[in-house]
Amino acid sequence: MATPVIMPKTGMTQETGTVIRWFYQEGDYVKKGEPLLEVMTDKVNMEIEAPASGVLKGIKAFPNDIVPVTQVIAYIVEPGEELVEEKVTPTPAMGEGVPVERREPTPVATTAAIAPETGKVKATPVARRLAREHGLDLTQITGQGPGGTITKDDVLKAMERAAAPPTAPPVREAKTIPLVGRRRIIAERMQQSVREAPHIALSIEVDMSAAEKARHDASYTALLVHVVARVLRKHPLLNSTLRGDQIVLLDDINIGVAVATDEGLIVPVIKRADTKLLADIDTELKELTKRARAGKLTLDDVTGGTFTITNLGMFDIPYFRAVINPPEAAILAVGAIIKRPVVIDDGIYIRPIMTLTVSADHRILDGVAVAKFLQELKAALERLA
Amino acid sequence: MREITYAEAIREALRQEMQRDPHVFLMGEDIGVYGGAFGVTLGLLEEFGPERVRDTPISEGVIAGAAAGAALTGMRPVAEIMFMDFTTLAMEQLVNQAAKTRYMFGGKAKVPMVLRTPAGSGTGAAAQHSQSLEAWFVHVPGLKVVMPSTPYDAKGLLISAIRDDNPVIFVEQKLLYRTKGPVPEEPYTVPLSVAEVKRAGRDVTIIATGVMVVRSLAAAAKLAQEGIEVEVVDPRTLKPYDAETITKSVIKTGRVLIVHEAYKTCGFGAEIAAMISEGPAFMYLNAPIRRLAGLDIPIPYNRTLEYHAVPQEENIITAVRELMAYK
Repeated sequence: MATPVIMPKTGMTQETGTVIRWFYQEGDYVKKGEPLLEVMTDKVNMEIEAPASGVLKGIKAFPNDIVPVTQVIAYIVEPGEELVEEKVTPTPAMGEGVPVERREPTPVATTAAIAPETGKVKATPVARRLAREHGLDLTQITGQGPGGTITKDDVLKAMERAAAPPTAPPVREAKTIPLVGRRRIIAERMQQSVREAPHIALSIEVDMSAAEKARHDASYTALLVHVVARVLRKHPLLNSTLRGDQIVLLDDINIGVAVATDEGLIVPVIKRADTKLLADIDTELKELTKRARAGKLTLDDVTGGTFTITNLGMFDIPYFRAVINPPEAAILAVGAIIKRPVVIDDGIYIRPIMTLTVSADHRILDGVAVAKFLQELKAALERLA
Repeated sequence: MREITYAEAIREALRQEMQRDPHVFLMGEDIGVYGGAFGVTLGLLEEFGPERVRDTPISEGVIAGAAAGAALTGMRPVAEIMFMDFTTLAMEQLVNQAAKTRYMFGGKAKVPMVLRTPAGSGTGAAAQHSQSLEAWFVHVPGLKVVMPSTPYDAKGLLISAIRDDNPVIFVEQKLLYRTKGPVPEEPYTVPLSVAEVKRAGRDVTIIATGVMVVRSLAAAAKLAQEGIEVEVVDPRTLKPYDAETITKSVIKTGRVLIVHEAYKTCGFGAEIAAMISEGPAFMYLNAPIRRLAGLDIPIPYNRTLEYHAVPQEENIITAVRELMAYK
């Protein structure tokens, strides 16, 4: 059993502690009760004793690191034991002003489980009263409230529209498609991405002559997953996520691939793509795509992505900019491979050219970081043998 | 105006009523020599003597029963039950005797007693010393239930309760005892069954009781910075409560959040939500009525769990923001 070492909370108002130094190194044997490290808490230095005897493993906080209280900063394991990290959620500190999720008690029969009857209009009491008083048909009003509920505001706007003389013949509607299910999720997530993440987009042209030969039977998308995953290893900022005021660099490189289905876009994930062979990625991708189109993806298939690739090359789109798939830091948009004349040395050659565009979250990284990534990706693709 | 604490305001009300009316006397566990478990009655034994400030045996049934009996025979007793949790032991005397007598004697007898008791969590006192059981008493015809949230209201409501001819359960919240506020030195009354709008606003009505009034006002101040104007209504008396003030506020805002520390299931908030739904304010609602209340669990001893067992300022802020999604 690994015993966690946590940043202690020694004062009621203390929220963080700073690591000064460790008295032992990773892998050292420590004895319970002996000083293990020194930390600074509210400007007082204090020694933290080892909470158990064993081998010090998985040190996460280093000198000068500021760590929230109760967060795990290392483990003490039995000699010979491998450290299996639990997902440790830091215990929220006590006191006022700590944002916490507070779960409401669930009544025995939960009201949330009651499915809405189809054909019934969801409207608040005041919206119903206003609609009745002004002779408006609620079925003709689109609810903008939570869950599509028609609110007072919606009815007031409908009243304004009804009152305003039509300035142009109304556009005839063929049918309305409710924004529900996957369409709604896409709408919300893309809206969130555009609202929260300032996007920068950089493009680069890649000569795909070498890649065409190197891919054998594999799809271009599979090849890109394979190469991108390896290049990402050296560019951890593009494989990161913004959590509060911290940029978290992710160890796993899980590449999501955008797949178009009748119900809309879905992004199955190739887990730890940097460790997989091209042929295996190709097989896995074909399988995932098939399942995606059949609507048979599991939750596991679509979660855990750290970077996304979206390819519209098959539709002859030369290049495009994609919206980042939150909470990821960047997305690669792949255009069609088009034969184009290029100048090499002093000659003109016809080469298959593909344009790659990365959209990245400018809060996390700057243009230069994306440029360096693209430059290395281009080199890797052109070097393939 | 001079500022004193909630506990001092209650002591001042007791002292001034005892000076004014020789029929008023105090009884309870450790209220004399010790000054009460929370120091509310400190110094009163010295001032009024053991005949009028009576330390009782550890028997809540006796305290409530003797108070009811003394009230029936012309006195105006103010009894203290050291923790609201212990009112379980006084239930027979309160519910079957004190609450019924006036009715059963056709109005010819009256029971002018007050039962003061500290309630609520937040002091690390665990499951048997932290409860908020006011809804039990609100349920019983014949009892009045008062729950002040400020020192000013505590003094004025206690004086009204002592002068009232019916049994009044006066719920004091432990976390409020040390809170300060302006309180006039001279005796005054705050009428029973009159709610007060503690903060005016146009967007959301919060109906809160006891310490939740304080938390709601703090939340309202923060929400105002986002442009959300919260109206905070404090019923002050839970039985019989002031439905009119609440209804008027709800008609104005169209959004309702009810906040109390007591359990959600069949809590006082359930009554308020039902009253709004049945009444004229329903047609003005623009969002589902929302309740924030204590979780349906014994209050934990662990301070972190205790903190999360009852609504806090941040929960109120989140709930208001969610209500504001209904435009």
